[in-house]
Amino acid sequence: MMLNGSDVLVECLLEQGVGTVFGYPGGAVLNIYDALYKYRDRICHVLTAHEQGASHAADGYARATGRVGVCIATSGPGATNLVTGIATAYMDSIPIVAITGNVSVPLLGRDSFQEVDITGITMPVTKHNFIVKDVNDLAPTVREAFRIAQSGRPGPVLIDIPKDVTAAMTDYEPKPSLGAREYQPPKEERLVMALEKMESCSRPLIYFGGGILSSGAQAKLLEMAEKLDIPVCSSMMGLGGFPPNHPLWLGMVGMHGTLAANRAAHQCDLLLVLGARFSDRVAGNRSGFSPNSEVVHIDVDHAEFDKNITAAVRLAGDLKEVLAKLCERSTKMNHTEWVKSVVSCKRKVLANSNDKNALPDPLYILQTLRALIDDDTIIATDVGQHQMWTAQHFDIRKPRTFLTSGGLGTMGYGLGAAIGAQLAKPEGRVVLISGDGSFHMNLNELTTLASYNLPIVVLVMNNSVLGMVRQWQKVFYDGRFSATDPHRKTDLVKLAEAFGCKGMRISKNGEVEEVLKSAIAAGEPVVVDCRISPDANVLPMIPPGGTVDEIIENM
Amino acid sequence: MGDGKAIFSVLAINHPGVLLRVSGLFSRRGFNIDSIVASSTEKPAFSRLTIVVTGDEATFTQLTRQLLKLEDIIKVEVLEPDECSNSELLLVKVHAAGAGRGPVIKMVQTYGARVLDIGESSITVEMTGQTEETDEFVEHLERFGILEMARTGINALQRGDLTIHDED
Repeated sequence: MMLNGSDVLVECLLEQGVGTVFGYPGGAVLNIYDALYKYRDRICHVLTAHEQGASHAADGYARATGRVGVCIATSGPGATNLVTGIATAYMDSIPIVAITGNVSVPLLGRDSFQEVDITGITMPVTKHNFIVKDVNDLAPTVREAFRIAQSGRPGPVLIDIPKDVTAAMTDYEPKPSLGAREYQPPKEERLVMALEKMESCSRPLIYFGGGILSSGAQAKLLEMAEKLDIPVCSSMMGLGGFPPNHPLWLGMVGMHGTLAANRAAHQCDLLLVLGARFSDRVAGNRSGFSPNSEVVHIDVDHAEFDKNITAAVRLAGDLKEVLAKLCERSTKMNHTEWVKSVVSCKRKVLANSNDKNALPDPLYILQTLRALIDDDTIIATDVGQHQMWTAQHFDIRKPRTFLTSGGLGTMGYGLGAAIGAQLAKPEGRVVLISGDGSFHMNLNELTTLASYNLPIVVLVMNNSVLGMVRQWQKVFYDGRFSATDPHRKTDLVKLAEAFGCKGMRISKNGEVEEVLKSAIAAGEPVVVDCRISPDANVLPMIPPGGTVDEIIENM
Repeated sequence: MGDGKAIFSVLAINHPGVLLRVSGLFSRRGFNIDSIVASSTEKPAFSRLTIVVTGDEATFTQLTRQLLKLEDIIKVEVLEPDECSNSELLLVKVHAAGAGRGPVIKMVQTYGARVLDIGESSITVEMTGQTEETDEFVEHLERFGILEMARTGINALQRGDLTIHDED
């Protein structure tokens, strides 16, 4: 049938099973928005306050569901406003398709109004990107974009569509979604090599990352850890991939990881790396990290092998499939003494809540929240101290329930991500844990919460300083607090109300439980201003470039 | 591990921007390009990039894996400079007036180069050959006075019957 480019685009989104898109209209995408109006019964467009919010929402939608998130922006500033969100998704391997309008083909390259070379700009932060200059290429391009975003190691793909292409007519035939490309099966000789290493070691440790979640391999991971009696730690991106109450669980490894996980990484003789990439936040000192181990690295992305740490065995493939094969072919083992020794380093951190009139302890807020919500609740965070406290102390119990910007460390990520997750799971509960620094970056999206009446609970850990940077200034810059005390006068309760949300405040320990309960029960968007001390620190901490030998446990 | 040179022969889909994707990857990840040549191939759908890189074995392996992640890259062959057919093109304009022309032309003949153009006080010469030989030729021409020059960078193919289209 003959359709214009905009209708073709929306038809192709429907082919892919897309029910929700996040975006912001503008001149170059007027035709696309006209099609979205026409198809409004079949596809829901969520209008954000800013394109960056739309990009994070698409990301949050993808992280919460595993499906491709979609965002749309107009040309020029609309497109550039997506860039932070695209880069965030790229660093954390999140599948999104970003669609941008551009000026008409004859106007390209002439510095036309709101023209920007967005494919050029996003080349380093996308898996791939396209500019479609002929409407006949549009449908195949959209299909290919979705395929690329989901295949292998997932990631963002951008499609730039000039305005005249969105108006031009073409013959459209619906086609079923291509889905992801088939994974290459793991090589037999590599499987054998990995099994040999696993069977001959005496102090094995599993270190996994976000790859376990992208692959959906958490059940196989648990099975293998139990069968082979291997203690387990993860990067922040892996949280939710292993039950935190399990006796083999050591916690997060790396800069703000647990002593137990970092000690185990230092002492193990075999490091089994599953869908993780030895970022500098895990292996701050590449030559000093896990110095006594051989590495068996299993990942879907060949380029991760030997990039940061050299592996003895490199096993490429889909983790779910690889772990299933390894489980099936390995024999049951016991590492009782080793497990006992590493588990003995686990520390239970107690929140300080005895003084009911003292400023609330952030850990007490997190522990109270944990007790009030169920395991399916999706927790989004921003970036900073609150994020690390959440990663360390808020037991994430299920995959895809922890949405946080790991690789890029994007302050301002959380509110958009929470919006995406709430729209992906309208019946589910979403809580954003933020800090006052991050929250100020993109709080404009409160208007989206109010417009769509999204019952998201936003906890702002408000210490009135830029806490993480300030903590570094305290430790590494002799307490010279340069530009980390902004003296803001924002009244977060009034701010929430001004946006049409509910505002609450927690000023002391004694108020924590009651306020959290009423925030959760509100059934509407709520911002809770949690007034915490500026001197609360994130500990333990391994200084950048350091090893577990330099771990700071108190300050 | 010491640094050496490798020639990357890269088969790519002939999309606009593929050269930018590849060169962007190099600069972003800190790989050093000595030279890069992009050209069409016997198949219109493909283009071929020949890139000379300085680095060690680990760099070459990582670079190969990174290149293969690009959607437009089909195949990457890493060639040893001494074990492939390789050549580059030099164009050079040398000062040559009056009696000075004779020695220049003699040098051109010695190296099997070719005179492309003769001006009032200069000669423009073309030479194809391996890099070392070309360097040597340029060195000899320097004493006559090089007015300007341009080099293409290395192009290379595997020796023998194997091609980039063959399975490893």
